[in-house]
Amino acid sequence: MSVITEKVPVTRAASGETAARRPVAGARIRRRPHGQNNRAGYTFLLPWLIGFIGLTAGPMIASLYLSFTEYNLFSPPEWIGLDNYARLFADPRFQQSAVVTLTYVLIGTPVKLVVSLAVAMLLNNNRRGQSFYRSAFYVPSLVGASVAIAIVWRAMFIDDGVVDRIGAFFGIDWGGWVGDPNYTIYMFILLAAWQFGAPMVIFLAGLKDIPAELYEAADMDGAGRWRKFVSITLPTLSPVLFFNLLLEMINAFQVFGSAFIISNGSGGPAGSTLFYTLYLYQRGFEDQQLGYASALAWVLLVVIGIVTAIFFRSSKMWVHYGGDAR
Amino acid sequence: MSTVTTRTLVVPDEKKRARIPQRKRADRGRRLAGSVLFHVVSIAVLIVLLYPAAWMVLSAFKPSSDIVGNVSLIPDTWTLENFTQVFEGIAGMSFWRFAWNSLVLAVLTVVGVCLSSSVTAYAFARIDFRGRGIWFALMIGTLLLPFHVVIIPQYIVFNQLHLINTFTPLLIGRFLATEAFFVFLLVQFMRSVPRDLDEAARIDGAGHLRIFTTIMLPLMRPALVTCSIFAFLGSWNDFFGPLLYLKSPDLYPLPIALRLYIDSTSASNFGAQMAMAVLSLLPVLLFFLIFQRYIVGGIATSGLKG
Amino acid sequence: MRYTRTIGVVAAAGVALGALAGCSSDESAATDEGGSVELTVTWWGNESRIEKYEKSFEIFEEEHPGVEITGVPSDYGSYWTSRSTEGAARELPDLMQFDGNLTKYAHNGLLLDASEYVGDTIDFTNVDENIVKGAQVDGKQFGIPFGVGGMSLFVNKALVEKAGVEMLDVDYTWDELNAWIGEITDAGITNDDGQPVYGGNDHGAATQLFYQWLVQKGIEPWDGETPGFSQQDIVDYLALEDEGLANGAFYPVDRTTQVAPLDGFSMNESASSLTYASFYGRYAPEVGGENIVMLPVPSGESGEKAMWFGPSNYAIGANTEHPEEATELADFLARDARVAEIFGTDRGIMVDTETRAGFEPQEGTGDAEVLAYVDSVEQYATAVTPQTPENFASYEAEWLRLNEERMYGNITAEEFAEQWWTEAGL
Repeated sequence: MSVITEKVPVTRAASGETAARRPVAGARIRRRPHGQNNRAGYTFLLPWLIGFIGLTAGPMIASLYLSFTEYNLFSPPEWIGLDNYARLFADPRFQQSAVVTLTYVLIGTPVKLVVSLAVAMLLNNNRRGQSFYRSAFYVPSLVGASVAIAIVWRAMFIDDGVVDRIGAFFGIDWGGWVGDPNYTIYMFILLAAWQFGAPMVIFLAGLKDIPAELYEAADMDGAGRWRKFVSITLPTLSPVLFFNLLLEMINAFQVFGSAFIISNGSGGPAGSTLFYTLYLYQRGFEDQQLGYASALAWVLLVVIGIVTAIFFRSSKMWVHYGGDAR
Repeated sequence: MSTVTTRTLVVPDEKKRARIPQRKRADRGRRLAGSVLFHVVSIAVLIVLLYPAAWMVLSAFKPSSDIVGNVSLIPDTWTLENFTQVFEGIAGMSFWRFAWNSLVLAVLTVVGVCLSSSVTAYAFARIDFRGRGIWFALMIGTLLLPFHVVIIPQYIVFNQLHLINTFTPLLIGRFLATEAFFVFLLVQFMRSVPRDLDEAARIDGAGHLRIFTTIMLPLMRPALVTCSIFAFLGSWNDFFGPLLYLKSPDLYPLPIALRLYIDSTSASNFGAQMAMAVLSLLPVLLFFLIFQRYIVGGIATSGLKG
Repeated sequence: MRYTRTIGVVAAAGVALGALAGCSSDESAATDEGGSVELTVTWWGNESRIEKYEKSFEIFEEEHPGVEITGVPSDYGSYWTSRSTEGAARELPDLMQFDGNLTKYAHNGLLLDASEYVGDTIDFTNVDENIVKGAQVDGKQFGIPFGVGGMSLFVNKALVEKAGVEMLDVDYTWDELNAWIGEITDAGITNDDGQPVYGGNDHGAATQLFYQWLVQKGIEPWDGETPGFSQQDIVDYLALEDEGLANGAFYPVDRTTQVAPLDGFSMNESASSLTYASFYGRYAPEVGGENIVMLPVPSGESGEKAMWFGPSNYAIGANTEHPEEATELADFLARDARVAEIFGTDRGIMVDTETRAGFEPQEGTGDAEVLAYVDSVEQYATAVTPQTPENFASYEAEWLRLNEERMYGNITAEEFAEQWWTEAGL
């Protein structure tokens, strides 16, 4: 079988335009009946289907069931109804983990995105070295989630460590952040901000798509920097912003590795680094309270679901799709 | 969610600049000052950003006792002792064993992801079958799903199947396209490939399988490379999965092995930790240097717009 | 077509490699091929302990041809998650180092009842009855004791001298201890690194100290799953530290977090530490053996110390295919004189009195110090090891966590007691 290459006029237009290129009469048209496509479709989809049912949907239902039971792994699960959920809401550690996680999501994510947007705007020019900087700034995103960096990060924030010394240089005596429950969360926020590279690259791509004419027109109208930012950049970027914000938030809810390493699995000191996932891990896999841990998981799912729904709803108000002149 | 399109990176058009009124000397001066400012600020950001990484790398060459209080990057005494300790291994295992485990996991992940994601993406992008819309929506939904609701039952099942302490639980999902991110990336890419070649092949009597293997796959190479890189990095840095499923030291990948060095029953060894951290991140950096175009480009094209 | 083939090859290779990788781990249980017995042993500990076990295994394998031992060391943090996983799948190793989780695992039918092997492959003739009993659950011999340990007050002689405070008398009480700690802290000295020195760590190192205090009052800590103490008892116990807390006499908790896994005593920043006697091994290199004085625990109000030495045990998985060999190995590791030579007091004091008598530590070594300590407090060891409840491990973890919160000033003693009580489901 040969693949026809040059004879066919390849139109580099968006997909869907092939209707204009109907084959000439007499040629064999293998138009598949719907049934055949179904078979092909599901054959190709089979791996994903197996994965979806076996590793996603199935477990989801199972964990919902488990959340109504008491299960310590050694004996069969015991139905206890809503007890886990009742316990959850009165549980001081659950509350701690909720506060820690929400603080991280609500402060860390915006900080990260603001930094990445700012740097993207800094880089959005045609100067030499721009692609070098872009790549260099991206490096932390590659390694930021690793155990290695978590270890280094912790080592930087101990008593007399790097950050302590830097503070001392500016006359601030904040000691080691690792041991101070009031400061520990900022270690993680800084770690998040440090990884601004990935959203930055996306923002940069988005910025480059904004036609220069818009800015020029604004210039001629006498618009200042800020005005241009608010009225041109932000709205045009809003889909990208939405995408970034949503993904970063979902990720922020699921932080585990760095929390585990920096706190040595304890979520301490005094529960100040007890991220939700860490708490779930402790309850489920260390304390062997798998029913309770399942309840924790479902609460998180519901919260994320609500947050996502609110997000999508609100997006109608501030996200502008396809509004660019291109 | 509305339909998404990919856009390629667009460098501002040189021709546009010609339309702007003639540059005057003052403009050029301002441009130079702007350029200097740009570089100064960028370099400042770069320094702050890379300081932790530099600190880590250089600390690996300091004796353990010098690391903690030392703000200065440059070691007072250079030593390779930390690296020798790392190579000597821990818990009876050599560093190379851990690195090998990481490598095996990462390579198999890449294979699994590429195979399963491309096949799945093809189904979504190119085959019209009943229910496609629903399955696609569900797949996108899994992007937003926190993994917490699935790990406990997965763990229980793998345990019942006596698969704990093997690589299987970590890899099986990769071969079943459970990571929607890759499927999504490939679907986006496929949608931007014109259907002409497909049609032509179909006229020739090709079935979907033929079209997939002889037309799609070759065309998808850049996207597959991007996927491979992210899959590799994701696996290399994975901590939770190995923590949960790998119990004996001879199976530990680097992230878990790294943790052995901070065991609480023995005094912690900062120097060796730093050395091992450096060694475990080297492949990542190497990867990046070689493939940065694909990485950065891939991120850019995955950006959702409109 | 070329591509299909490539894909096919790669996929096949991938699956093959995956299967290979999946099989590369150690499996527990034995394979009886021509009489060869494979035993899997798990323990936690540091590097040196791994060597010691390996050496001991070699001796056993030589004397028992056909037996192959695979050791799976681990760090303490992940030890029990591994065991619980194996327990759920009924795939526990043949021999395991165990701690207070003995009750829980025994109750769930996961351990071998070794009672029938006592007098056969297991020999307890030279082991104190209390120790043997301490390793039983519900009267059945689930644990095979290999070492005993107790608590001790470590004192840094040099720092105490520097502070100009008198050393504690061996009959000191809890109150005297806390006052003494306050005195040293008030002296305001610094150590050689210029760091301020405190009188002592706080007493939150282990719940065992609380139990010690209870036993001194004549209260039996646990009766099965029911506590013999009340919330008020917890509050009263914590009240001992109230003054010290208020005056900042104890080693600051934020510093503890930073120096973890070391503690104030190791850092030469704390003059005393009330903790497990086995910690000598980790303190000596940092503080210097010559500076360490080991005192018994504080006396209760009645003047009695009521100390006990609790056993550390081996346990055997109920699913083992070789109970004979496993029990033999356990007995060997616990009582053999050569193993005692190898380990010294690393796993605690030897349980077999003859083995103990035959062990002669070198002068000035950690082993000698610890043995000397145990001998010196023999007279105070009047109590029987208290029973531990099933969930001892999570109770302990919660206690330590609440203690940290208290040290940070986040909760009061009453809240501590309340939260611990709720957490324990009582």
